[in-house]
Amino acid sequence: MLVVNDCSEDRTREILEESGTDHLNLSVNLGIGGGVQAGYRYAREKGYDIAIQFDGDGQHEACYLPALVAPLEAGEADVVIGSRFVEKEGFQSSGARRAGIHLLSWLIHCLCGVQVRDVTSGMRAVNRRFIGLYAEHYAQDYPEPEALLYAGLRGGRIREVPVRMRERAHGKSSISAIRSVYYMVKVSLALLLGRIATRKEAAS
Amino acid sequence: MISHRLQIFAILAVLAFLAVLIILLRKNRLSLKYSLLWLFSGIVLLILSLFPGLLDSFSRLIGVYSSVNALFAVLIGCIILLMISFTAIVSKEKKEIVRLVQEMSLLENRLRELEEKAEEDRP
Repeated sequence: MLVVNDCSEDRTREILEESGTDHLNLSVNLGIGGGVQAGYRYAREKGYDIAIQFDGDGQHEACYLPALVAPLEAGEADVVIGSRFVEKEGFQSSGARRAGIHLLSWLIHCLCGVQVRDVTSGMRAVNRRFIGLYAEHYAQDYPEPEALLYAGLRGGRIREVPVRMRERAHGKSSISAIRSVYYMVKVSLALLLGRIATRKEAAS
Repeated sequence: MISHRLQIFAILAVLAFLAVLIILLRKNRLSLKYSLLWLFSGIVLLILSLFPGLLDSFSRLIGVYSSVNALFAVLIGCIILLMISFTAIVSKEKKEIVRLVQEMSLLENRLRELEEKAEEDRP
């Protein structure tokens, strides 16, 4: 397990060092995109076959990890998303937020033909090919939908597996009520631009 | 037509601007790579103020009645070009910083690993 410490101001660094947990300390706050990408660069350096992205705020549950990596191990997918909306169980987020997620899901479907319901889920597993691609190219500000579009455009086989999520135990979402409008506009634009900037590859 | 008075003032202003640019370049306060657009804009404006006839034909071409307004249009065009180039530079710089911070964290991680190994190997 690798923890990415993106300039936490609490005792994160001390705790990581005392417990001997493998971690990366980013010396400048890069935000979620830069932090996740640092993790993918680490996985590439170590030559891992599979990398799993897992939020540290208590939303994700480790019991779903075997189901998450199963399609990768079977060679049936390149990117696997842990999705709240397949079986509609557990914490479902607010109605407005779900509507936003559905809109982004539809947009991604239009832009690259990939049908994923939970496009903002941060619980993901990718194989070696996408470890390498994400290490080189990962969206920076609100990266989850963009990273998905990128995977779709690069011919990745994307699979959703049902998971339950909890309401986050600690900390706040990086997306507050007022900023959610900004989020939608920014991500939609970024997706459109991403479609223009990335050459489409046939599915492998 | 622009007045002779304005023409002389414009020439002097552009020359002063180019002089400042060249002094800064000689002192190495600006890198040549990022000053090329400034130099280019200065030279365009200098040519236009030395030969106001060009400006007159240009304003007729784009359908502007007053040559002074055409001069403003050219000036604004230069500024927009410069600002786009700044955005491009900032974007590139941002990308490089992200990469550097990530590489540094990876190196730190490796260093820690080596230190731990050295600690274990010590008899």
